[in-house]
Amino acid sequence: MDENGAVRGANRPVFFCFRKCYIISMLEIKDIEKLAKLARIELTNEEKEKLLKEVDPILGYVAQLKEVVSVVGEEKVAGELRNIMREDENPTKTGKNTKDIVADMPDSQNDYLKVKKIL
Amino acid sequence: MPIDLKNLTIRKAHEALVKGDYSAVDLAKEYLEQIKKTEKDIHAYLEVFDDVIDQAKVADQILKSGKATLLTGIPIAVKDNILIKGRVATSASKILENYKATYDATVIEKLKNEGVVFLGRTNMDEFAMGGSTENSAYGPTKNPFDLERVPGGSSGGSAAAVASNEALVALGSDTGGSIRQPASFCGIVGLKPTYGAVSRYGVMAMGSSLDQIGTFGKTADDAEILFNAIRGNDKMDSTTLPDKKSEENFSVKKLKIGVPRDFLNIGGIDADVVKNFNESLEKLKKLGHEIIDIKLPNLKYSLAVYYVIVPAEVSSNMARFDGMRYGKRVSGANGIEDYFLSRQAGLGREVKRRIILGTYVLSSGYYDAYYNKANIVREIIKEDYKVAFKDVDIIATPTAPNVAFKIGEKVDDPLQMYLEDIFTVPINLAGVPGISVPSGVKKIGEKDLPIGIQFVADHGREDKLFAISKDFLGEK
Repeated sequence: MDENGAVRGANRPVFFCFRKCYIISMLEIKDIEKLAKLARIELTNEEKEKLLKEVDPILGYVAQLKEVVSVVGEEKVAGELRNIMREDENPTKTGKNTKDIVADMPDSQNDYLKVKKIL
Repeated sequence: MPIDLKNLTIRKAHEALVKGDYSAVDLAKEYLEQIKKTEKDIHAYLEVFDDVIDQAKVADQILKSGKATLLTGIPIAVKDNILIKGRVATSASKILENYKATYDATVIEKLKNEGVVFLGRTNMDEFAMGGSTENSAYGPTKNPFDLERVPGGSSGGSAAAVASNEALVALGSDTGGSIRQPASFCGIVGLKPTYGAVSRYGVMAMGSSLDQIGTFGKTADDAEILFNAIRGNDKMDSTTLPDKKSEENFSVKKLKIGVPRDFLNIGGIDADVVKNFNESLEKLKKLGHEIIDIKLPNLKYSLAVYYVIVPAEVSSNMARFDGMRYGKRVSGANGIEDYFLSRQAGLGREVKRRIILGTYVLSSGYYDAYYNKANIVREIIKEDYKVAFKDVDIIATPTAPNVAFKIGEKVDDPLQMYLEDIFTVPINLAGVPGISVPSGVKKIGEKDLPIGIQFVADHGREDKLFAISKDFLGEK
């Protein structure tokens, strides 16, 4: 990946059919490492290798979308979006669910969530 | 008097409960007895609740008071990603091992109001990601028709519970086929309603633009009764549709059924599944329906669209599972390390895979190349359906290209696993409703493995799905 978060190789040629994909590798181990860091997941070396092997063909498969869109054109607008608002009425009484929610916390003290210090 | 669970339906049970042939407690005991017999082999449940009899006693009181509905006292299994207040809900993930729900999902609240009996929470692929229930952190569920095979997924536990008479009906969720495919593999009926028909408040989100709660039953009537009980607008879920009755009448006896032949010739479909599908079409013709060839030219891109949109939505939806406010926390050298280690230990392989994929397709510079393109193609697929439903009432395809596969057979090839969803995924992309009903079996050795047919209707036309399914299955 470059400093903008872009991953190298995504424009390399890809060939498709339905059942099998012949692709030129798009990712390297260090890309997996960067993605895992962004997603805040620790991975073992073995996991990284496996992910690379599994993710690559999937990316190859989905890359056919580029070709579809180049045929139908980009002018298609994706989705109809609208906001749905509601009044914030009848708020829950303070403390009503505190006990249950605190019970779900991995660590707590006096009804506060306990985490490691940040600074 | 023993109750014939195998042929029991909601209406039959309701009639017996009202007449007093047996009580809700008797019925619940019968199901617990069945669970005791078969659950060791099937592993449909992650937990069978210890207060089932108490719930049934409450149901009996409602029955006695004369205020019973069709569902009062009916024993139901619930997929483990749907919250029931005060009970553990794990989504079959280690990261939520001890998580107790602090509120009821809207669907649960509705069912509680009817006095149903919740038997337990069912096994699934972790956070509903998968098509075989093998991605559960608590071990796979087995197919009741062949214990060496998967029940399908992700709602495999719910499907297996109904198929093995460990529950009368069940709730599941469907993002790309997670109700219809296991229904097909287990020889029962499974409904994925219109996007927005059922509130998702209190359901763990996976692919938010696709997820929908639906129902399992041995009959289309059971799936319909349960659907009618959980559907409806909910102010707690802004994606639910306004309540309105569909106005257009239709003739149940003569429906126009479209068959997308070009899409069926895509390859990789089991010959017996194709044969069975063609026989089903003949049967529908004999019943008086009209079969029409239609074209859905862009459906072949569905999987590519799906496996961009889903990982993208997954990577954002899964961000909340970080071991901070709830769930499993693994302590590291500092706060940030806590996140990394908790997610490493708590999340399974397929979940991590989708998070990594989603992070990639949403990363700067690639958002446009993948996510935007996927959304554009999704619109084209929706258009295909819109055009098709101008001419037909129903679209029919097989539910899955193959019968249930063996446990472990596809675990190491995620792309192959994804391709199993070819017929179910487009329906979620378009947001239309789909139902899988049993249409026959394929004999492999001594085992009869179920095959399903999928019926799809336009938005909000579940009524047509139930009509055609009942006619096909010979239900009144």
